[in-house]
Amino acid sequence: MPAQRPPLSALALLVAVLLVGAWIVFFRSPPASNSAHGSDGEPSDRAATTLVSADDTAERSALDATAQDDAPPPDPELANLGLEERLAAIARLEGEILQQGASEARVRRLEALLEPLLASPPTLLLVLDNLVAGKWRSTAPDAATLDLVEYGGCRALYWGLVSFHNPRSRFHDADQGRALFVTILTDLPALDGKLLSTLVEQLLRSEVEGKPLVALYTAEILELRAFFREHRELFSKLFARLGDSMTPEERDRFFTIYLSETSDPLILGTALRNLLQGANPDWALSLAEALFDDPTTSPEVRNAIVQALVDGLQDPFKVADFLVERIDQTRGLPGAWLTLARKEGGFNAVEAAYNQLAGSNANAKARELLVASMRNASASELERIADIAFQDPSPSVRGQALMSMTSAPNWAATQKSMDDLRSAFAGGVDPARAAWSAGNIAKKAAKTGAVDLRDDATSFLEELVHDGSLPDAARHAALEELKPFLSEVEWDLLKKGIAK
Amino acid sequence: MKLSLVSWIALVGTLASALHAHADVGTGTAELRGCPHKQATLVDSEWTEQGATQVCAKGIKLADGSTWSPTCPENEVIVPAHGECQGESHQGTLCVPTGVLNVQVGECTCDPIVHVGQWVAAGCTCTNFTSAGTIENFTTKPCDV
Repeated sequence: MPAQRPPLSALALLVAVLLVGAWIVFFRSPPASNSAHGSDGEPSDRAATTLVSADDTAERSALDATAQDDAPPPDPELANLGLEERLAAIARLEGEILQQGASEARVRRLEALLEPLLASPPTLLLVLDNLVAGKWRSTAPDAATLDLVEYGGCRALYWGLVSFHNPRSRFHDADQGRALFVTILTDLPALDGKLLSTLVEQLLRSEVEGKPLVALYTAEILELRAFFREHRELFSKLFARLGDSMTPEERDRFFTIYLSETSDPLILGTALRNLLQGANPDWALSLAEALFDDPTTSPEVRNAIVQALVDGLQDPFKVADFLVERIDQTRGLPGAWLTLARKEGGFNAVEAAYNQLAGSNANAKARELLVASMRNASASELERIADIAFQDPSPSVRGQALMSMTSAPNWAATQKSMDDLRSAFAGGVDPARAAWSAGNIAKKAAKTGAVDLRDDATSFLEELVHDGSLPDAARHAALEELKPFLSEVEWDLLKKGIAK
Repeated sequence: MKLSLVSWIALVGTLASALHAHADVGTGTAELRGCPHKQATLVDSEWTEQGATQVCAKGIKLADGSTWSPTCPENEVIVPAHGECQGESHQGTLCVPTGVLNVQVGECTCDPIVHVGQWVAAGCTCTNFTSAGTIENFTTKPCDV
């Protein structure tokens, strides 16, 4: 049968779409600077700067159509604040509320600070413009901090999103809410660093009556994800909480399609996690196994599958079995193992898997990783790890047991633990693991003011550093553990000792 | 065309030396027979959040019911940069283990937003990092050493 020609109208449509796409990609002007706005805060026309489609004009028009006739008279004290002062004040006040509690006076003051912004969506848009243009950006002291005004700007956008979507708010306006959400979405690819992660956090955490707002905008997120292919994972991230308000059946319906996204581990992992919490977790588990066992699956996708299993699969015994059976591929994923026992019933699952292997002295690496996850044990379960530290036939498993015990949040450092460590080291535990365990003891002892114990632990570390019969790597491990307890000069001297 | 015995000997000798030369070019030396021709892949250090997300107890609730509660992961895990044998090809080398490196885990707690002058730090602090586990480290070695 001859191939059917596409109709002429379809071709014309395709050409038009390609032309529009090319125009957006090649002729998009840089983000609008603040000077593009009038002094009254009216935003400029940014249709060409950020949006993908002509819908932008509609979104922006909705934002510009401001009418809040029923707004109460502004607080005279706060009415005259400029935009930057207002945003900084919002950031400061929120910090105060989170630190000292939400008194009625503080909440009222916050509402008064927010009110002119919520009543004027164009001003919120101006805030977004300035964030995108980097107007309030200065060199941050470290990657974890944000300028006060920038942070206040992100928070104002958050309150705008939830207020516009909240039917109980007097600023409720679904069109404004939609316009703001979509405009922020389309601006995300122009941002980076802490500002980007903070703004993504605002989108992810915004919810009304327990339903995340991202659930209302899945079509837009998918469209942008397809358009900005180089920022695909950024948009995939927004699906992280999408399943939170879904029924198991809804999760199955929504997420199944993303299992084929093997080039985007983030969305594949999110999809798998949701399907494991869906109506048919056994089916999802068998899919996960098949995909993991496929030799063409990349290490990144395997990592995402393991994380999805640890986070999504309810039965910790099945997760432990999965990890142990595939030890050659999962041994390089310590994060997943370390949190396995945190699941409900997780310690029992880990202990059962360990006992099964220990009985036949099999698979020392799997035993070691199972013991690593035991650090989340309760105080009574810690005894079990102490037994393993002396009874397991493998020195690396015994060394791991010492590390698990001494790093456990529920473990209190005692002199006996240091004595046990010395005898375990004499019994063959490798020096690097002994050094890390001693470092754990020294840090915990220092924190509780147990000076003698701290000194005993650091003396042991110094012995390891000085012992020329030990491998250099182990001596360096001990040296690193000593760093918090020595002056720079003392530490340098020890380091030079190893070099000799 | 017929070849004399001398010609045959000369031809075989030439072929043998050509094959020997080819073997040297292809694998370096005779010791490289059995060399897997693989190298270690360097994996960058990684900071990941682990465990369920804690919604911090202290939040903000406006009169219209709109709320904000900061969140925190339970743990932060630091896996150091290390080498892995992922099957990457490299002529004349093999991927070998060099021991283990320590993996650190910090406990995260909700912390009010901290203002330091004009800066804001996140409302979540991960501290008390301890060495909780290990990761194997691999490196690349020449096959003929």
